[in-house]
Amino acid sequence: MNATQVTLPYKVESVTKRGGNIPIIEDISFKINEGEKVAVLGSSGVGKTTLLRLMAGELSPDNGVVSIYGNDSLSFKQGRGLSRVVGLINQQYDLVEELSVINNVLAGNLGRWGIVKSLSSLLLHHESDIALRALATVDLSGKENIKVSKLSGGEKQRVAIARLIVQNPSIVLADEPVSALDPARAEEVMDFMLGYVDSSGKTLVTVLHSLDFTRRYFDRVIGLRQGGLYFDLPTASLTEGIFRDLYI
Amino acid sequence: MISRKSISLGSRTITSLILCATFVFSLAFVDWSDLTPHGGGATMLEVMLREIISLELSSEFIKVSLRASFITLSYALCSISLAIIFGLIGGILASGGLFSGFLAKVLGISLFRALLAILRSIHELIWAWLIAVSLGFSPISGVIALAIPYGAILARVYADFLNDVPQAPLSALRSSGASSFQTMLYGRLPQAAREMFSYGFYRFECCVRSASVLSFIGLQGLGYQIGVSLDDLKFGEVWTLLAFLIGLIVLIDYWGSLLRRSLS
Repeated sequence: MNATQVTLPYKVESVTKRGGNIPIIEDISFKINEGEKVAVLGSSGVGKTTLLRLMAGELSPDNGVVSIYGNDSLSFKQGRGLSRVVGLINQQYDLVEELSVINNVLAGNLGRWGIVKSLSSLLLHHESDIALRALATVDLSGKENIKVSKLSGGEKQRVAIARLIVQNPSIVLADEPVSALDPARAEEVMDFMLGYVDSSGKTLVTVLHSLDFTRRYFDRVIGLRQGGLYFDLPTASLTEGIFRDLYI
Repeated sequence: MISRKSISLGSRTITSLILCATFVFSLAFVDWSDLTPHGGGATMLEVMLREIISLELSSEFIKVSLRASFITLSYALCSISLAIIFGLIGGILASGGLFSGFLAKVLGISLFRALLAILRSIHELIWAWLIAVSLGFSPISGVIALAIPYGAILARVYADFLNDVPQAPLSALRSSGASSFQTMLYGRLPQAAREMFSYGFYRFECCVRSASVLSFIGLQGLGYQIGVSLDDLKFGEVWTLLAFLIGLIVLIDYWGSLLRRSLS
């Protein structure tokens, strides 16, 4: 293994994942370079989320290896160790609705904090300067003390991005981050997410459905069909025809 | 499929029949001749009910009643505060949320739940009796006697509340690096807090009732005063004290709903 390969954020080698006896993902291989922005497309139930969960180290492959920066994804300690490398954004925001915005954002620090600091931070908001800056990045200044349950969907997803900024992982994995939002809000959230990724040079892998967003925000596009890799192209080469074939 | 259904239907009918038979059978053991313990029972009941319209409302007795209500409320508050601390710790442990790994989880949950089951299966009156024998007849014994079973009940219910919260925010917390304990602090507890608060308040009401019963162990207050008035057959006073007890419960219920509203 040479040095350039070791530093690759992702190396997915012949990965298969079955649900019962049926393969969900079958013999998929690809590499992702540092700072690359990759969109994963495919119709529903084709295994996109499974692929993302394999890449997040949440699932173990039945065959093959997912390497993150040269290490087997399963060798990372779940939670703490992995959270420094991989950060997740989900479709349903997955925030704690009963907590204030600032506490949800500060939760991005939990992987680095001990018990006493995390407990006292619920009231004292430790290291809030970074969190407030993150909230300013996603245009939510002044909303830090509001309960998350009072926010709109777009605002919630921006809080999730602010938490990710505080968590500061090297790789961002996003699973349909804007599917639950109307077009205007979706664009806003994509702008904020890509703004953060671009300015910090993170690697981004996003499951998406939109051809428009794929062309606008991503360098490279991976298409999944029937659990296998259907195409892996630079976004510039993605034609409407190829895109449509994917959903047949 | 059909045969299984008919079997379960059959077994349900059989269970019902056995329960009915047990009830009818048990009637044979009741000593029907001894329904009224003493001959004047009916007359006494009539006097008692008639007195309901002649509540004892002298300023002196109102003062006694107010003081008794305050004492009962204070003991109940002490007991429920202890019980909530105990319930929180027990609930967190019995929820299994702090254990990672399947075996640790199963062992932890069964161990703590079994412990809670033992503590709450003993009624507060029996706890009072046991504790009074060891610590003496004092208000502290009463407070502890209430706090133990109440704490165990709270812990059992809290454990379920903590388990039944939406799971997606928890896994998001874990993926951003939170340990089991941090997930408890930032995910489970905040999500379950409102239900836990409501249930704690409901148990507070129950605790006021129980505190008034525990007068025999040295808890002064409404129960004690009712006992004194009953000994003198002053039913007007008894009704007044009962009215204060009811008032106290209604007040707590109202207070609780106000707090719940301000929390939501």
